[in-house]
Amino acid sequence: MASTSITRFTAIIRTTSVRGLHDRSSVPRVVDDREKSTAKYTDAGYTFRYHQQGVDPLPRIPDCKVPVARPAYKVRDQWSDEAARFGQNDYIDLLGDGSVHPAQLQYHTPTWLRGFPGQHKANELIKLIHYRNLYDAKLKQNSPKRWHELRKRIKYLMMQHNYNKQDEIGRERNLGLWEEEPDYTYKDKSRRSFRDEIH
Amino acid sequence: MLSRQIRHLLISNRALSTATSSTSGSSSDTQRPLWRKPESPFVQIPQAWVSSLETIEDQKQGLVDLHPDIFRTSPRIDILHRNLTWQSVYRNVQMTKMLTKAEMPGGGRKPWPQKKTGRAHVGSIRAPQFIRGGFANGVRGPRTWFYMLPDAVRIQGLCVALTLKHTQDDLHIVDNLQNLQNGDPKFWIDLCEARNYGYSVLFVDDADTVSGGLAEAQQALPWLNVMPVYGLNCFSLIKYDTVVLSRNALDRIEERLLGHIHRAGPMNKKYRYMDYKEKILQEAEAEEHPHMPPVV
Repeated sequence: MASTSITRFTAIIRTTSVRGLHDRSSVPRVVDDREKSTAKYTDAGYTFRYHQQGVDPLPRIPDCKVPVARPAYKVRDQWSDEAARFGQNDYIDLLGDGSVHPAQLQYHTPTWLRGFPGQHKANELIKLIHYRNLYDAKLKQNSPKRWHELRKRIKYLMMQHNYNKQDEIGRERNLGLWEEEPDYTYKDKSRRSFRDEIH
Repeated sequence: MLSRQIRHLLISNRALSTATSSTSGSSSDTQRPLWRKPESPFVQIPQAWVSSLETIEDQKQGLVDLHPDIFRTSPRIDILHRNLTWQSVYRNVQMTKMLTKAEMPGGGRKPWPQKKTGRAHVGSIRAPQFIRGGFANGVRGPRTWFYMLPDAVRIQGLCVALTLKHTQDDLHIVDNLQNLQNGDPKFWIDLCEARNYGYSVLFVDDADTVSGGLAEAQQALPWLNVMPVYGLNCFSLIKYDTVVLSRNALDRIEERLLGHIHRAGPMNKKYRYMDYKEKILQEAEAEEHPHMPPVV
């Protein structure tokens, strides 16, 4: 009784272990080396270190003179001219005479994105629609491939937002890009489509 | 001792205090009328010494009243934090653009037949599962994080920062910043050392330009800087150990901030790109290429 149970137990172990090692389908595959496909790694180089304090040193080639590749050490000067004046004109609309707004001073951004709400508010679709509204004629005339790609991307995003993300498209009127209320008299409402150009 | 007496009198009785200060011979800066001062008897009027920058030692010239709505607001650290976060984030731009499958060159041909090769069923070598394929859900730049905090939050942030500077004794008032005699960096290092200004000092003046000794010192010392009033902001107020305002700058700051606090319109007016679009695009016309759209 006991002997049969033990044999059954070993048989279970063998089958499970064999099943665990099994990584080939029944179809014979072409491999570059038969040994490589049959000889398995039993040890991935890991040793248990339960009672060892600290952190193991990283593996290094002994006496290797080539330094380990890492990003160059950069010293940041907190009192350079730009850093010392960081944020200087952020409140110029409140503390100045009111003629300048910080949105006008974003000279480091592309011109068509200065003061435009960021992508956490206006998503990529709205940004691309804005770009198309500004540069459609120039694109069509002088860069037709990019015009085509822009059309494709806008079309793809339109479908994405209409069919997969229906909750997001309703917020675009709240961004301050267009009037809060759309022009309902622009076209017959029953004939509206998501393909309509938004202006 | 005398100053404590004067201050006590000031708090108790304004008319009496003016008489005391005039008789004691100090400057009559305390006479400053505060516009729309809160009527509550529990509100204390914060004060600051006025000194001069001509000598190394701090020679007090008089006291000046500060408006309690600006220099003694409740220290809302959360609002200050919103301001600092906004300042560090709102100008960020990411110019990375990862191309999609459609924008990568090539890839129009089916690389191998659909079935019977044993390989995956693919239609293009630019599919996202390929190395050197296009990216699905990549970064689609240029990406900006621009947003504007409401005016109320920004004004309150400035008031909180000024209050904190004043209560921590890091806000100083001087009579004049223009055309100072001594521009020697050693003099200014000694001055900041003698007055316990800390590592970095920010001077704020009403005028757009500064000339004289302070301008020379500001050229020589990177931790000593000058700003106009309209350049004042929460980040700099917190970054610099000490903020030194001139009397004109103090007046101008109070005028601007109180003007906004008591202004007629709504304080939480929404920032709308529509309102600034014309002006921004008009200013950017010189940067535009006459024929080509911008490459982004």
